[in-house]
Amino acid sequence: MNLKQIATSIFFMILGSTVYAQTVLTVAGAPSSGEPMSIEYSMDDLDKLDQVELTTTNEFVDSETQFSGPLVRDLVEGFTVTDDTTLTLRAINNYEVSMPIADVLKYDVIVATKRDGNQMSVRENGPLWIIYPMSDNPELQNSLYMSRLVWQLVHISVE
Amino acid sequence: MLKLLKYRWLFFVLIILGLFGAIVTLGAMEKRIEAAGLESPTGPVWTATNVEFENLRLQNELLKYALGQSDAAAVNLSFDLLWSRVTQMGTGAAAEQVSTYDIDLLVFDQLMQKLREIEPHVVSLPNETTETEQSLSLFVELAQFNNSLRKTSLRILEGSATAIDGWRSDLVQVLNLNRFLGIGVGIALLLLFGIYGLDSFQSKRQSAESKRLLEDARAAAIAKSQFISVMNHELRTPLTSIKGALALINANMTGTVPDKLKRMLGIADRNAEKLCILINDLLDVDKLTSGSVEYDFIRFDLSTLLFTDIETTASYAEQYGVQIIASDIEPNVAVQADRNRMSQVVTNLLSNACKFSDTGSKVRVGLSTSRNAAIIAIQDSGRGIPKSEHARVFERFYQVDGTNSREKPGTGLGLSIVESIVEAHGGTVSFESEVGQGTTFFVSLPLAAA
Repeated sequence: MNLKQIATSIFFMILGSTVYAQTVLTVAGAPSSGEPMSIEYSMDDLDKLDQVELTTTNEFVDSETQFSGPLVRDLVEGFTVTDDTTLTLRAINNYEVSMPIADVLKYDVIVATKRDGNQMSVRENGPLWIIYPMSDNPELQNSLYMSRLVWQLVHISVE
Repeated sequence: MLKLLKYRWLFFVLIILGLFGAIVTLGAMEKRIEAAGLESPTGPVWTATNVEFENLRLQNELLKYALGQSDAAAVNLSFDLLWSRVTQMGTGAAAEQVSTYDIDLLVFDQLMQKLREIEPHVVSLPNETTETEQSLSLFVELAQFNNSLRKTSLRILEGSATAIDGWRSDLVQVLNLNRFLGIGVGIALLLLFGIYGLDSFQSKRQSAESKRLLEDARAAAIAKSQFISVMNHELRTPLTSIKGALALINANMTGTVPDKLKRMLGIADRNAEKLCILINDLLDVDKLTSGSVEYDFIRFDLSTLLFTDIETTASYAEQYGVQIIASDIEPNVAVQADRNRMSQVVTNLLSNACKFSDTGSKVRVGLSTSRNAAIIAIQDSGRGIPKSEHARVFERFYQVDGTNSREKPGTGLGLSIVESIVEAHGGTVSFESEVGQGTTFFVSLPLAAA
């Protein structure tokens, strides 16, 4: 191992630990509803929440894969939610998708923090990936729900 | 039309086969359409566009970095995003679908290789001595991919469009098949109704026909029974009077009859007697064949019946100069039968045997038992029955050799009556005969249970 590689790995270790402590996900209420509430989660915070494990397939993996992380339902718990509530999911590159609240109430949709027990890097569509239990619910296996599997998730707004 | 009815099953088989074929084809179509349905907004076009877009964004970030408007972290993030998109291109449903488009995907591999190659430089950006130069050279390297990425994206778009087109034509085919199914079912129903209509028309006609036949038969039966009663009353009654009158005259009750007249009266009497027999026979046949005869079954000894009947027929036999001999009559043969009718059978056969025997010859009567049957055998030594006539012997009004009927009196009903009675007893009548050797009739009757 040459010096450069050692330096690189040290850099990543530092980077990794900072990532762990820094905010990875923000869940925010709608400003219009007079609910300027916003919760910031670090990776540590997310790991402390109840973890749900899903083994499922989707369009973006080659075979059944195990994902784990907190339920989206739990993340929006403190917010005022009605039947019309929509969650807007934003990715690191500003990609945005709307998700009706019904999805998370009916299904165990998680913010996956781990894939096969390991954290996911940005290169692996991480660190946070919205995952639906598609294998257990075949009705979810269509393009509408596939488009809601936001990877590199950074922000959820409850509107 | 009748032919159509006859081959209707063929129509149905054809229609059912057609419908079955259409359904199978629809099933196959469904699979193809399902496969085509995988073409989603998150499909290969989307994924390929993502790669292109993130590549441009990284280039933009590198330029901004060179101008001092961005930092190393932003460049690294953009680099990671591009990395994830290129990786995604080779994973999951997008990779699976794009492989069916038959497109050269080399550019993604080359881009990935390039990313691996420049990775150390990106990671170590803040430490590079000539940062501007470095980021610009990275920009140039990545920008080289712009054209080929665009080309590949467009080809993927083209492939996807073709797939959708195939999907659309499949849908049109499904529509056509559906139409065919509808028309097929319609025609089948129409045929079904048509054939049903024809069928009911036909069966109505047939039932009308059979009704008419039944009425005809009833009318015939009524006519027959009327005829029988006419025979009974209008023929037999006057005949009885004639016979009575003749008997009185013959008994000289009307004064002494001259001898000349007596001979003529004798002829009249014999012929009246013959007529009487004929009418009785006819009435008997009618009763026997219509099954209206009631039998009075009792248990009795058949051998005694034979002896009695031989005795009573003896005088009749004398007329023909024939002698009836009881030979080998087994004693105590119990049968369950109607005594009078059985006697009718025996006398009938005996008188036949006498009639057709030559003068001076003998008629032998035998009785034996085999396992469960009593067998009466009546053997004459007459002229016999030719083989060609054997089948018709028991027919009504049939007499062997038409010339015989003039020579030998008889109605031709006797054997028919015999057969009817014996069969009603569960027995059989048969005969053995050879021309010139005589005839033997056998009556077989079931023995009475011990």
